[in-house]
Amino acid sequence: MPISMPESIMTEWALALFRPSDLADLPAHLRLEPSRPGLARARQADARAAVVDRFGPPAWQRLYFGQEFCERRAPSVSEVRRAYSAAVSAGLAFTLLTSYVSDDGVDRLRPVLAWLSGLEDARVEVVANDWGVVRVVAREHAGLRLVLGRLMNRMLRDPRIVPGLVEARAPGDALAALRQPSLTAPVSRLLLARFGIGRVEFDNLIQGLDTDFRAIGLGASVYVPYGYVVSGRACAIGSLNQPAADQFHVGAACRRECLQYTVTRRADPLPVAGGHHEYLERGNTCFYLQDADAIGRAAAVASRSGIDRLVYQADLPV
Amino acid sequence: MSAMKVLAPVSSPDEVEMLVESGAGELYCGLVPPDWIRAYSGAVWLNRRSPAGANLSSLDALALLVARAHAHGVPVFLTLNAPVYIEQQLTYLADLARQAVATCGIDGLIVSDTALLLTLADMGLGPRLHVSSVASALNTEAVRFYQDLGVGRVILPRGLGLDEVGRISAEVAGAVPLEAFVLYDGCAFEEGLCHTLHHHRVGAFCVDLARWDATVERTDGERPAPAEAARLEAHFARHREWIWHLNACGATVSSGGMPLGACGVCAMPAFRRFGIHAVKIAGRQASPLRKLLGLKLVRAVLAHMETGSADEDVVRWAVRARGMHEICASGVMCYYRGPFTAPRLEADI
Repeated sequence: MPISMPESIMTEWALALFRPSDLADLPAHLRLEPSRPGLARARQADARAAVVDRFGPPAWQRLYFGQEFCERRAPSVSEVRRAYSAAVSAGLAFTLLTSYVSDDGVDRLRPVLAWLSGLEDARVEVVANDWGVVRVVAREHAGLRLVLGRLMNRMLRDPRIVPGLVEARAPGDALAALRQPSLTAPVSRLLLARFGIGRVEFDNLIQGLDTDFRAIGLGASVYVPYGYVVSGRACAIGSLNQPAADQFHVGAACRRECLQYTVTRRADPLPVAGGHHEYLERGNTCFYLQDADAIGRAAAVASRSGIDRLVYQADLPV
Repeated sequence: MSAMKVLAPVSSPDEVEMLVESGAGELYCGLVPPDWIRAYSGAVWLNRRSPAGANLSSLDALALLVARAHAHGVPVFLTLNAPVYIEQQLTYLADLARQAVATCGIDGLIVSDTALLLTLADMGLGPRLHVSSVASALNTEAVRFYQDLGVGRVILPRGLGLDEVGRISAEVAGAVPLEAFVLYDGCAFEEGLCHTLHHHRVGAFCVDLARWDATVERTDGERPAPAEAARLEAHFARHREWIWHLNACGATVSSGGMPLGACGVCAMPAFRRFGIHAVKIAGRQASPLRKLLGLKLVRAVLAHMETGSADEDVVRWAVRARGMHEICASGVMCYYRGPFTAPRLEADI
């Protein structure tokens, strides 16, 4: 059954794109037209239908562009310039997505941040998924608005287990503990304020989210329809074209095989009932797909918790 | 240049003598009191390891363990390193940390969650705080972020290359002591970005993932051609092998009786040059024998380094001591691969 959303709660829609090549198709993405062939196309179509059903017709206000999961795929200054121009042309504010990074990744990010900072556009945001990036932005580009990304929220999201825990109403305070972040504790909020962070972001967690963001004066975003389970720097598919002795380590070269392949993994039956059975792996990260029910729960959580931004991922975010 | 400390895991007061007499310079342990289990069940872990097997269950046991270690001048650190804690847990953990330090004499607290770090720093415990590898301090700026909070040590995550550890060490320049892993319990993903439960009933997600049925689709929507599909299948079979090696090689041992699993002992000469303060052996849940043999290996490599041997000679010696030349040469069991690790020296072995 559709869950109605009060207009005043969800105020902002953001479209998230992760590849420079997607920018040429921005108008089609804004119309929520599936852009990928094959299985991915069917998934996109299902997700679009569920999101529109639960959240209403899109009211785009912002374009997210960049990479949260792999520093090698971080966009260059010229790519960010193109993305920013595309956003402005479409009447959208711009948000740069950044990933967890090594020192080399910080080096590559600095000129991008400097270019964005030079725009002096008060609506530009940077989503940081690494405390090192938070520190760089806050110290070197105080004019940029910092957003704490979904990778900074370390809540359990094991799709093998969490559905079973929810279904079984896990004992004591366990379920409550799984539904609350630590980022909203008073001591964390002081830290966020010190860095000028006014927004925190979340995956659409299987167990739900039990925090009133309105009451604590924090903006909050939820990402649909993909949530991440695990990510790491040793990329499985990225090693495909390397010699056997040089595969599966953080320094292994890659040929961006993540742009070529998506792996769908189907789980064996688990000892805990109710777990997810299908996982999507692209590059260095594994995701769960949110079905229509899960997206419906996101709408309910958003309404209850005061989440005021929906981030719609047009594709798997790698 | 001061000698690197060897940090060993301990899960019982009865293991202390064995570990200290075998060269552990520092120990770390976990504690899960019964009231935590009553409140949260086994589903919400107090630290990064399962309550069963890897943890002490009372402050009395902790005090005994610390007293035995302190009798040998060895400090003990307590893990409070779950990835996240909610507000009501912060109050509980602040009290637990206060008792662990004031009553039991714990020397350091290994913490990941920023809210708990801030809470404990506000209690004046900053210098005793060690930032857990679960916090994913993958770059110099992240290390400085934690340094700004006043912590006493940062444990570098497994997901760093040797050159990256070197750069962070050079840029931090000793302003905050750094610790690095050298043995056991590898992670296929970045530990701090793995939001799964390693409960014994379900096991590690990476192990599951690698053995599940996989369908590969090309981004252009085409199915891989037969030759391409075969190549992909062979590749994922190698990936499964890699994960098996990271996960203790199915709990097997080398022909010399040395437990197998993720290893970075041949990076130790490089760590010494970088000024790494301590090297860590993972595995609080491991058997006493596995802990002992791992510690003996790390101490032996350190002793060889202290004879003044060239780094390359220490690496060759470490590979021989490991007793599995083929595996070392393949790199599949390595935390770190780089100019000073075994695969690069394959031709010389």
